[in-house]
Amino acid sequence: MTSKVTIALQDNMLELVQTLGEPATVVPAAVRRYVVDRSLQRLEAAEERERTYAQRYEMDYATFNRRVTLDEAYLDRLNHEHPLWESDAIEWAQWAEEVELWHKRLTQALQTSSPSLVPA
Amino acid sequence: MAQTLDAGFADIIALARARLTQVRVEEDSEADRAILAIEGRFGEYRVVLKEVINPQRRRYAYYVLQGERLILGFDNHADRTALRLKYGDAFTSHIFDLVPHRHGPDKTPTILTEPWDAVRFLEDLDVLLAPE
Repeated sequence: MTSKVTIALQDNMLELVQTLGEPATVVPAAVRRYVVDRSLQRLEAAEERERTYAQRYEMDYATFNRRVTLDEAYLDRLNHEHPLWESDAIEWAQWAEEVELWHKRLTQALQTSSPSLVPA
Repeated sequence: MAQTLDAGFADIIALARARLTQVRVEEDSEADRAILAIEGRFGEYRVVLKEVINPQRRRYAYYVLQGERLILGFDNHADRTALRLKYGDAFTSHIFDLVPHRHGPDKTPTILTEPWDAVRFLEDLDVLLAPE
């Protein structure tokens, strides 16, 4: 399925686009490339931040959340050793969600067929 | 460049600068989420705030410390104590819920609260720290 949008381009940019092919082909290819690049950047940034907390607490967020919500002894120890752990956990939860989200978006973008830039 | 999520952080930062000293601010905003971390001093106390906002959820953690000792905290991350207070024996079905609560000195006791926000926390510091 495709949708149509109108995009304003400066004249000189339109001329440059035209040197690369039909704008109707070049622009969707550029958008796809942008979405892939940005999704990858966001995914890598979220993974790095998530890793920092995973190393600090020596487990992944899902395990951490299970333990703070179900394991009384662990929660007591955590409150003693890291009394501000919630400040880490609220951000860690965000990064864990973002890793999942951007992985899904990147996969979706990569699976979207790229318009061929090779002249017919 | 995509517009960033408007999480109202400008008001919180301005209030923090008015109420606290030695203020340090870290902000990380994108179109779909915003994170704000603030640390500062309120007289003899150290104040630590974090807000994590996305279109689905607002998570927060606010603390007051005296030296290394936690005096007071508000947050809405689920923990076993808060979940049991809210849901009783059914708490295990709610481990991903946001549960607003307050911690007293050294994390005891835990009391359920309505959702708090950073502006209210900063404005009420005098009251929160007043001797009972």
